[in-house]
Amino acid sequence: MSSAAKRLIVLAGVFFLSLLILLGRLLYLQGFQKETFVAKREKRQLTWASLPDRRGAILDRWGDVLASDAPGYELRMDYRTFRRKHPFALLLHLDHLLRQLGREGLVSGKALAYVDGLPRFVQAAERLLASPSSLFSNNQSWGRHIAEVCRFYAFGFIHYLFLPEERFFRKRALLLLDFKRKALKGDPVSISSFLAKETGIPSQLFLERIPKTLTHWSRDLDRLSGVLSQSLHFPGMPGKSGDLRHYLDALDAYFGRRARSAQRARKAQAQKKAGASSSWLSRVFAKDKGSLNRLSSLIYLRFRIEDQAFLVSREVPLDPVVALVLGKREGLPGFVIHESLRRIPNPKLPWIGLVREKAARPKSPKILLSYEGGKLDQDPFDPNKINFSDPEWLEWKRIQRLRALRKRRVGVDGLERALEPWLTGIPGKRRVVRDRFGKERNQRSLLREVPGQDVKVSLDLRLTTYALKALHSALNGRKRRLPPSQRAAFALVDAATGEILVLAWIPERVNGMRDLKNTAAQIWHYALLGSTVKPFIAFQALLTQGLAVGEGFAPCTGLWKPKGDRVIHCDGVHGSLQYLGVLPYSIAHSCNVYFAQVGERLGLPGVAEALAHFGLWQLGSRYQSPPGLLVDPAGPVPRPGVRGPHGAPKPVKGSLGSLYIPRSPARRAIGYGLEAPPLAVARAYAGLATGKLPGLRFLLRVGGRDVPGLPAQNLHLDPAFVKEVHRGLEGTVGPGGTAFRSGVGRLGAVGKTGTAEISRRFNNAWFSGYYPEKSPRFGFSCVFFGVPHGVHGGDQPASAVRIFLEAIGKDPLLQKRYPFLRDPK
Amino acid sequence: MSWLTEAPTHRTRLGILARFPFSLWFFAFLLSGIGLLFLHSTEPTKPAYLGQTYRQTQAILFLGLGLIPFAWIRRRSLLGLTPWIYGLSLSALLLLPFFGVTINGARRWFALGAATVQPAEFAKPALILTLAYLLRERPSNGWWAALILPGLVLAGPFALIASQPDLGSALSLIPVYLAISYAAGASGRKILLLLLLGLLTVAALYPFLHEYQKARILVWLGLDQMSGNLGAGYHLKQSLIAVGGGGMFGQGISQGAQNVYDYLPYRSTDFLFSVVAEETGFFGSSLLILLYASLSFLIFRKANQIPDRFGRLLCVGAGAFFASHLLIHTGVCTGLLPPTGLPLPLLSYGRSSVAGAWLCMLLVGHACVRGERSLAGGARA
Repeated sequence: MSSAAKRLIVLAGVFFLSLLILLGRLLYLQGFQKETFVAKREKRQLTWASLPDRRGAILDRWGDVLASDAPGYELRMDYRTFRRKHPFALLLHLDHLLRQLGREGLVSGKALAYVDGLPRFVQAAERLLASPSSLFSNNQSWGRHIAEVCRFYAFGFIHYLFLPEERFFRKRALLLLDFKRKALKGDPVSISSFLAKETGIPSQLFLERIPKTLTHWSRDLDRLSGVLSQSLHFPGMPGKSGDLRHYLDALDAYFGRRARSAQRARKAQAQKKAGASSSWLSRVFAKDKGSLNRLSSLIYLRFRIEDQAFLVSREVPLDPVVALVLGKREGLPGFVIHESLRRIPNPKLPWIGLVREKAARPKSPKILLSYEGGKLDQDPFDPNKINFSDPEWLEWKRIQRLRALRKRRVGVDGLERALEPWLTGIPGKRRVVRDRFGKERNQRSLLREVPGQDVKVSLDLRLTTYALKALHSALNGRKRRLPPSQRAAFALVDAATGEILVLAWIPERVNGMRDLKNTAAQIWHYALLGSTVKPFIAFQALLTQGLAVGEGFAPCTGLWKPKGDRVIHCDGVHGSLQYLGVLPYSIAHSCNVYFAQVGERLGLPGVAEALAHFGLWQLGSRYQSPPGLLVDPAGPVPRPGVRGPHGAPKPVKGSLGSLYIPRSPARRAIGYGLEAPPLAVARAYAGLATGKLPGLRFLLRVGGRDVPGLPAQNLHLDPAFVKEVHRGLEGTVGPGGTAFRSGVGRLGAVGKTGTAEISRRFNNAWFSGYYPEKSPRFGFSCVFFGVPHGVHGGDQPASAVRIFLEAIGKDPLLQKRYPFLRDPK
Repeated sequence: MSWLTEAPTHRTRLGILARFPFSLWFFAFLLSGIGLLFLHSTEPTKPAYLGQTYRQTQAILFLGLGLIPFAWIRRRSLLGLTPWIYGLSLSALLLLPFFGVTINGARRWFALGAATVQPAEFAKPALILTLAYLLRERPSNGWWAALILPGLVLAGPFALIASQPDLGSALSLIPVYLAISYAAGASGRKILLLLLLGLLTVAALYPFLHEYQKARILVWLGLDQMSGNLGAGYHLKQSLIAVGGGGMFGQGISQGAQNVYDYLPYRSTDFLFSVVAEETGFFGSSLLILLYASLSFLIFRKANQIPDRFGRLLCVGAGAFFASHLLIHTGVCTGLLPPTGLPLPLLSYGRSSVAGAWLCMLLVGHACVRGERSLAGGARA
């Protein structure tokens, strides 16, 4: 064999050996490491998308929709993309970074913010182009990574300075904008001169473009801001609305806070490891060599944290936004529109339909409780016991992420919250493939959602609407005009069936915003009753003493002093009361002196029995909010003792003076210290009207199935006693009665006023009764909470009932539904 | 490797046409066809890639078929033209800083209307020709004649290409130079010594490298986590995911997730092998490597069959050209080598690259056709 042939063999052999190494490497990557790389690929490309479940609709008794889901659109924002692709964001972050590095920012004074006007951004851009290019070179003392980030912002801004449509100009400028390759030299030449030199474009042209281009970008932001002004979801600030620029500032601050928090956590973790790890990041965190390292790690952490789409607005009108977000490729980077389901409340009853999103996170890592290797029997979260690279732990983390995706919409309060088990479905999910730019390209798997069930409730939307109008109208009462923020409630039940027909209250909003913490407080919070209880006390008196009740009573002189208690006042001076017929008279005039004496004779057990008979006294339990649902048998359950307006226990020595004896039967009999929700009072009056205490019924149908109501409880009332009390209630709305001036009596309704002192300056004003008086069909209760002293139950509350009855009497549709409305008398 | 050193059987009986290496041309067209298949696979994923397959097909047919007649150029004429060809390629590289266009921060191209020409690709066959011309006379084992003089011929194009900057193309010249020198008679020990010196020089020159080059080396060595996620290591990371994710059988043509979903950068040029590995798996990519290596081995075999020294060195140079590009390109895609932009000749997109590859094939063709009649390569090794 010749020498040349030998040499060729050597060459071929070297090549062959290299091939073997290459094939070995391929086998290693594709044969043994496949799972690792597939996992990496899927982590980046495959994401779970949640499919919202349709929440069941809430319908009123006639099928009118109170709240339902409608397909809509929500706007989400990937702030990382925005930060990297919007000139304002690039300038702002460069300014912040320079300040963090101890340099003067791009603008003088305080740091740049999105909310700043256009001139400040123009000033910052001009300052940037006038800066020496050496500012961004690696020769700076900032370190390579930070210099790279600075260059990214600077050249990124110049990249997006040019309008997308001006391609040729832009293309030439783009040639030098690859910040990764352009490690700038330490030349003192300005960036605009540097650009001019590299591209051949006069530097003046760059400067001239700044205002034009920034105006273009600013206009797009302002247009979107206009569309979203009422529906922005500020991070950590539910209900706040405002300008999109404020929103961006808030979002920027939010991510900054989260990054700093993550940095602290990781530093603590790294210090625990005592520098055992050799990774770059661990070294940085553990040693914490200086501010530059801290800044560098902060940039890195923030980069990771921002990798999520943040909800901007849930109620996006698609048409105006489509041109802004979807129609332009670079107009508003990072903004993405998603299809979603929106809860549409009936505008007349905004308190129904209030939902919020809640992530279904696992409460405890059950998978870890069965984990044997780590001995996690005591504290499954103890980081010292968990091997973080353990596949089981990683699996749990994965499940946790998946569950977090399965967000559920839950009712905030009121009906939405009470009907949660029926209204809520199960959200679906699908696995989608996203390309490098986050665009959804393919769908891998789909788990369909399960919709919630429709619920039909006993409310009558039309009646409720009239009740709301009546409450609003009554605020402008004849005697005293009450402020719009006055709280009031109106409850109406069907006297025969106990079905709740009206639940209405005002205000629905406080300072223009929904009161998320207390959406329905007015309708089922406990309020001091006052004289509203007197008809029930009267029944007990009749039961124990017969029709001759009142014999031997002291005449009313306007005040009366029970034994061992302070003086009780009566508004009217009724003089010497005749024995026969004194009870109706006393009810009609709400005579405190008379009922105090009745109370003294009944004693505390007698008073309690009187109230318990009509479902207003039940020891030992609290009312479940909201009322009248399947599990609520007894209705109102006040407890003995003085309570504040919201049911909070109060000391005995309240605002009413040291002489007040809370357990005095005389005071109890005139309504002192007794509390009940308006709905309970309406039910009690329905029982008074019909002789049967109805079981409250709220749910009529759930998911196509009828929900039976509770049977009414027969009160076994003597008709003679009923007649006597009815005369009293007639007298209340008749001439000389406490509610006469409201005119409610003319419409055929009877009732009892009540004015309970809740402090020296404020009262609860009640008007409760039934309608029509001859054959009662409705039991109602109207209360104005905390009205100023001097406003009584016969004023605004009785007026509200009158306005309501007038309105429903004229409504042809309601006359069809409730025929007795045509001729109530 | 007896097949490599077997005596040719068709020596003189067949005509001049029969001596043309049709088998090599067949291999080259086969590889080009495979390349077109995967170029087509990358096309729908990115608008910028649209039309690449069509343009590449045009270039392959035009150059692959059009260059065949030039294989019969007279040896004497070729030898006479060699210094001019070398000079021309060197001049083109020299003029590049003044008249070239910058794309992605590198000035490697001349703009000819809508098209661009990359002189570095033409410098490669020119270098092979020049080195073979220089070492055609007689075997030499001395430092000067066997290594330093050819090294000076290499230094010009190497420095000019590296300064573009295009370190990948520049480095691909070194195996060609070493292979030709070794085949021409240079001592293996001296070559090893030279390689060692080269490595030390590279280490010494590290501070003078571009920032992005330093970053790539650091990422490749696993010393820079941040750049690995954010910048310099992105290409390598995505390429490894593509290759590793392909598994043994691949995801199917035009089904590779890294390719289709736009994660893999420069996938029609510098990372084409990653697409192949992702879509055809270990078996497909190994087959491609073996096919490509077969082309190189066949060229080496031709080198052994060619009686004259000039023709043999041309074949060795061309074989080393294809072998080095295969190793560097696949090495980068699989993470064996630091990331550098080097296309895979005959497969990757790029008309300059295609032209360079077919010119190398032309040199092989010429060596086969004109081998026996050559008077210039008198001395037989």
